Amino acid sequence: MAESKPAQKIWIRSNDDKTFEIDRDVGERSVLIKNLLEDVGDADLSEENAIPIQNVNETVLRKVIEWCEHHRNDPPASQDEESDARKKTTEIEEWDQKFMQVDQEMLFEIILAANYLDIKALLDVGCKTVANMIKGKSPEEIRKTFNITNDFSPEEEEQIRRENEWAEDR
Amino acid sequence: MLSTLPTEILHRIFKLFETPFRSWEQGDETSSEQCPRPHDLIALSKVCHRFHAVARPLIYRTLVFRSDVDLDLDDSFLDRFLHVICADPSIGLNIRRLHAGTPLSDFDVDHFADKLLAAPETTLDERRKRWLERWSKVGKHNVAQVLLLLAPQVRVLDYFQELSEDCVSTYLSGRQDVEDELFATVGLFNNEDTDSDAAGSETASQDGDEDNQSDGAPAGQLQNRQLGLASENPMGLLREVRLKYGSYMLLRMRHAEDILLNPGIKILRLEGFRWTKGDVRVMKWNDVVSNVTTLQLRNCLIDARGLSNALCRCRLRHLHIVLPTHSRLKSDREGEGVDFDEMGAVLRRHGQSLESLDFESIAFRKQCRVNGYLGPLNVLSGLTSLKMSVEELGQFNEEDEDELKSGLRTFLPPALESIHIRPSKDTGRRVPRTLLVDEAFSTLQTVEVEVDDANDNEINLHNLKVSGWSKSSRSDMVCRDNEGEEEPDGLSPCTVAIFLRDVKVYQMAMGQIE
Repeated sequence: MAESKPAQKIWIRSNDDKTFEIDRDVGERSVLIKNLLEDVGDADLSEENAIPIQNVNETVLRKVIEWCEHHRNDPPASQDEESDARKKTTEIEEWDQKFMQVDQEMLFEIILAANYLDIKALLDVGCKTVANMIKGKSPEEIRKTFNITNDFSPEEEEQIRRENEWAEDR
Repeated sequence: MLSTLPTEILHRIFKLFETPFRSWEQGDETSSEQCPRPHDLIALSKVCHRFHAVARPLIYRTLVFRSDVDLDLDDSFLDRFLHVICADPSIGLNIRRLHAGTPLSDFDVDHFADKLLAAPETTLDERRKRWLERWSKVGKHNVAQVLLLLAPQVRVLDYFQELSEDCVSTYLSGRQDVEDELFATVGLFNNEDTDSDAAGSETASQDGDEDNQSDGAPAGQLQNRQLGLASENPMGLLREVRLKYGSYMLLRMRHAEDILLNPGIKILRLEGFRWTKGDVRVMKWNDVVSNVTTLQLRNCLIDARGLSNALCRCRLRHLHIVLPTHSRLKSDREGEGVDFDEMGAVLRRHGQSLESLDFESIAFRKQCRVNGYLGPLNVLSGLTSLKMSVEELGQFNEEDEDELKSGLRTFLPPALESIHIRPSKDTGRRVPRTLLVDEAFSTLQTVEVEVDDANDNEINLHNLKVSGWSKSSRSDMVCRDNEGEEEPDGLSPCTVAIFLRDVKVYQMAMGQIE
């Protein structure tokens, strides 16, 4: 049987200039990085020539790398948006649930980073985590949880209430 | 902050709260989830302007109305929803998946129809209004029709057709000319098909003289017999139609035939229809090709002529047939025309585009005698997935393993990747094991066998182990025995043994790895 090659290294740099050395297959969890690597020759890969990740700082990038390392062997994500949408919001595997036990600011930073780096599975986990924080709450409870100001006038509130009356349980 | 996330991400999060839409396979089992309401989306829409803009369209994206669990409809969910949408029909533009399962003949929908007819044309265009008016002349309105008119951008429709003269298939064709012809011959659909039909005296001749019409000749007088000519197709975005007729009896296929004319529709799933020789003769569009590639017929009676009609009109990739349980048949004689020998010949002749075939006749055969077997399917070179029972396929000598092997090699498609074997009465016990050990079926990756515990003596599937295959099992709900008539179309639990080819062993055998 052919010997497997040792994992090739790549380097990525956060927007606050911290360079990370990671295995290529870990980096390729990000479609953005994967596409960049396809355009860059192996000879051009070096610590000095690290791939700049412009929208992500060191703390968040460290966290994202941690997730990618844990999920490096996952099968490729399904392209079927419809079936994905049907999955229950609570379906998050245990490791990911623990991984997402961070403050709200970090949670949203991870979601934004996953979106920028095009890591669909991480984006899904982030979105599901937020969805679970919303589930079953009243509008006021949602505002309180996420520190959102109610910018509706009383008339607008009444109009929206009337429009949605049909779905109320009686 | 959540409220500062980009809209695309908010949309992604909110979409997780979208109302679930049942798959066709899930059938009709009742659960408290049947009329799910989008409470979380509504709560989100009340939080702030930004959330409202993202959440509001999603509230209406998937709508599920089922009267059988929400019996008190007059003062409930649907009634209140109709008030809202009739006041602002633009809401309907958000609907993408609609389950209009509302067999409510006594639901007073006329005042909603009147309201819509009085609405300005910017909210309900002239064509839809004309439909509403015409519909009321043909028969009485029902809620499902009104909902459908209000959902011009619907992609998936699950529709319960209560009456044969519903005309919904004509609306779904999207063809103005078909519509005009239909309403020019009002009463066309009154026939002997169902108990609910009015006995229209002037209409009887339409249906009675089947034999006077040439086989397969078009009965309509229309000029443009091609798809895609319909201007302003009001159902142009529709991709999938699920149409269920009543809960007993069968309706002639011509009542659903117009759906085949809509060029956008790729998936058609029907329940309670009859597509036999006599039905083909009274169809109007036998020479029109359809874009449907997936056809599912559940509890439908189809014979060789019907199958030939379906395969010649649609370039089908996926075909799924479940012959009716006896509760759907008027009499035992109604099923007598089904000849498996002939159907097999049709499959071999016209089924070249098929990639998957699921054929089920277990409940049907308990009541109706069928002739012959589907026979060899090895000419279907593209068929990779097959579901059936051995006794539908053919007779095999199971005493001699070599004969069984050569029989299966002749009968099964050469590129088969997965097979699901349903129980047979007196045959097929040794088939699963032979499939697993025979190297000729090298493309086979999955073998599923429904375990018939009562007859699982000869080869015990629970203990069957074959080198190179891993085994697991799952529990399925299957439609089998309805002889008691206690529960028509009822489902019962069944264990399925699953054999998956060990990928590494397979690759080694294929020389892909050393």
